[in-house]
Amino acid sequence: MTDIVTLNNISKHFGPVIGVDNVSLSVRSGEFVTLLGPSGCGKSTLLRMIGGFEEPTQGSVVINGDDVTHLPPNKRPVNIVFQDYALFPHMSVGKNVGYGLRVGGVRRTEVADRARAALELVGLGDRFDAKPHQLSGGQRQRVALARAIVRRPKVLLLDEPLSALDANLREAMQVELKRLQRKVGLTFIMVTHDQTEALALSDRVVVMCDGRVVQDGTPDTLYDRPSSTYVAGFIGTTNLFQGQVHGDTLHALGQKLVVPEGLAPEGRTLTFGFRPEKAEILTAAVAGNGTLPATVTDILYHGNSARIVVEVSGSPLSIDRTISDARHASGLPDIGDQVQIAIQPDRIMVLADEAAA
Amino acid sequence: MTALETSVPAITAVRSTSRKPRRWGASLGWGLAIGTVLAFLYVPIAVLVLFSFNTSRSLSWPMEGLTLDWYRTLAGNEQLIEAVGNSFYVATCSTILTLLIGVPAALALDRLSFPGKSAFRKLVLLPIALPGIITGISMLILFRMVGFTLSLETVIIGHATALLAVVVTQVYARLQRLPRSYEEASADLGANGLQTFFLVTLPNIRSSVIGAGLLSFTLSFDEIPVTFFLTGRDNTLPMYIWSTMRRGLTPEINAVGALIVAFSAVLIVLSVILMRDKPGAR
Ligand SMILES: Nc1ncnc2c1ncn2[C@@H]1O[C@H](COP(=O)(O)OP(=O)(O)OP(=O)(O)O)[C@@H](O)[C@H]1O
Ligand SMILES: [Mg+2]
Repeated sequence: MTDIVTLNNISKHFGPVIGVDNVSLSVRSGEFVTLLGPSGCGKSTLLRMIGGFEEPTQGSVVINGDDVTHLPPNKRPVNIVFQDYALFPHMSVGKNVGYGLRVGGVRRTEVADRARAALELVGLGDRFDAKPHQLSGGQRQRVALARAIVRRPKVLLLDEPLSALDANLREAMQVELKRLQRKVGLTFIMVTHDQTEALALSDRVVVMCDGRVVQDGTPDTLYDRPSSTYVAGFIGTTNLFQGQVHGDTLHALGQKLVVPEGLAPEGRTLTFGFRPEKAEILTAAVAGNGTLPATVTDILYHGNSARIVVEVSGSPLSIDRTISDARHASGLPDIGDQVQIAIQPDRIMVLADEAAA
Repeated sequence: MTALETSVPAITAVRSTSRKPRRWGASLGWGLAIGTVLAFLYVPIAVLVLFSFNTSRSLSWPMEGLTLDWYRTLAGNEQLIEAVGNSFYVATCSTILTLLIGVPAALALDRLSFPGKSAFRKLVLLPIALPGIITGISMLILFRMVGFTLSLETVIIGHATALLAVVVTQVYARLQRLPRSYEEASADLGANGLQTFFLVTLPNIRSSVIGAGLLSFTLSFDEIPVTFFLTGRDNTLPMYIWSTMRRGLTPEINAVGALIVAFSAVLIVLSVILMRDKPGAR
């Protein structure tokens, strides 16, 4: 059995509030799984039920083959990194990291050695005697990581581990987190509301909404084949519009687009979409089969790319264009230009939810 | 103290005269107010300490001369020494007892949720507003009913009851500011309830426990009303002072007072040292 964590139909109710609603999930050993969703969708509650801090109202939690639903946190082979790190302020960094070993009855000399080794793993071998308040935010984060992995848990739980850091540091820590996970080969279950973080780090992303799982898949599945407008809107930017498929033609935006045959049921009004980088801007002269005439309304310059907002039959669409030229911004259209849009046919997505009538 | 009184207005005056001369009057006013408050608080104590060294028995100014005679007679007064011993015994035991009950009660209030919790909290905190006489009489009636003979131990129980509210309020307030995640992290790292309490919770609420303990000790040490009702034949120090005072104010009493002041000063210094929150503690 390679599933290390299995959640069977678990729910958590706080009085009338439903925190988590009938979620089932399996996590394989060594996997990096992210729970992604907006604030209040139940990510933390789900994670805390795996850690043992909340008891499910319904369902069961199985870790490493054992039903741990009713076991307290200290009886579970998992460790958690809290959002506020929860480093003990009265203990040195080394004592913090060694705490789990010390209360577990490990010999004093071994505690110090293993704590030092764990600190070295996160690059803080020289701060063994510092107090937590003497460290920077990023260093505290690493101490919390070291403290959580020192007992070699089966699963490491992380509740928005990077949200307290500023943007630059967060990116650096993302790299470190991934490196650490590869190095120690642990199973990571991380909570985040940051979609770029989820896509960058995870083997699998579980998107949640109102206590339920709405989609569970690899980052590229979520990005290329979001199952609903909710997921499409939450992950990256998507141009959404409604249309009907007839054979290999999609009638949408008052135009005709070319799509692979059998993309969607014949004649049903559905929501379709495409990512901003899956379309090209051509000069007005090269109108061809399936291109859309458009007017440029805005250009947002991002350095290595630019987002060009165009209007097609009154609907705004965003199109990204990478800028590889040495001379920046050359080759971009001007606002007001008449252009043609070519969308890659196999990049048009169908979103499961029916279009609102 | 005199340095404080004079330097405060002086410094502000120098800074403000150049631009806003009107401020001068305000600073002087503040200086006077501070001086008055301090004088009101400390002049009586200074007088007490000073007269304990007076050669004459009379409390008239100027003093006739300096002597340590009163302290010498103190050392020979067996009744008084016994009373001091009793007071230490009562204050120490009631402090320990009230901490043993109060800290777990505060923990229960903060960490558990049970039906009737808010009523429980109000009931625990209520005795703080109850006059000592009421506590004394009611406990006396209870002890009579149960058939306890009155002794220093009944005084200890009475004090512990009266002081419980002090301990629970202080420790509870500290616990409320303690992030719950510390205890969760401890449990997550494999610690059981006792390990979590002694290794994580207690070190973080330490200053409030010490503070509550010192306050309880002081309050118990000079408590009269509850002691009056609940003591048997033994006397505590305040009771002894009070009973000798009926025979007149003696320089001996001043000497006892001066010693208590010295002892309290030690306690205050101790509490400041012990309660200094470690940097980084929240
Ligand atoms: N102890 C609690 N008592 C009552 N309601 C709770 C409790 N914990 C969580 N909830 C509720 O459960 C829902 C899910 O909360 P949860 O903390 O899991 O959200 P989250 O996805 O982690 O959000 P965030 O991104 O803001 O941390 C929320 O509606 C919240 O108000
Ligand atoms: Mg959360």
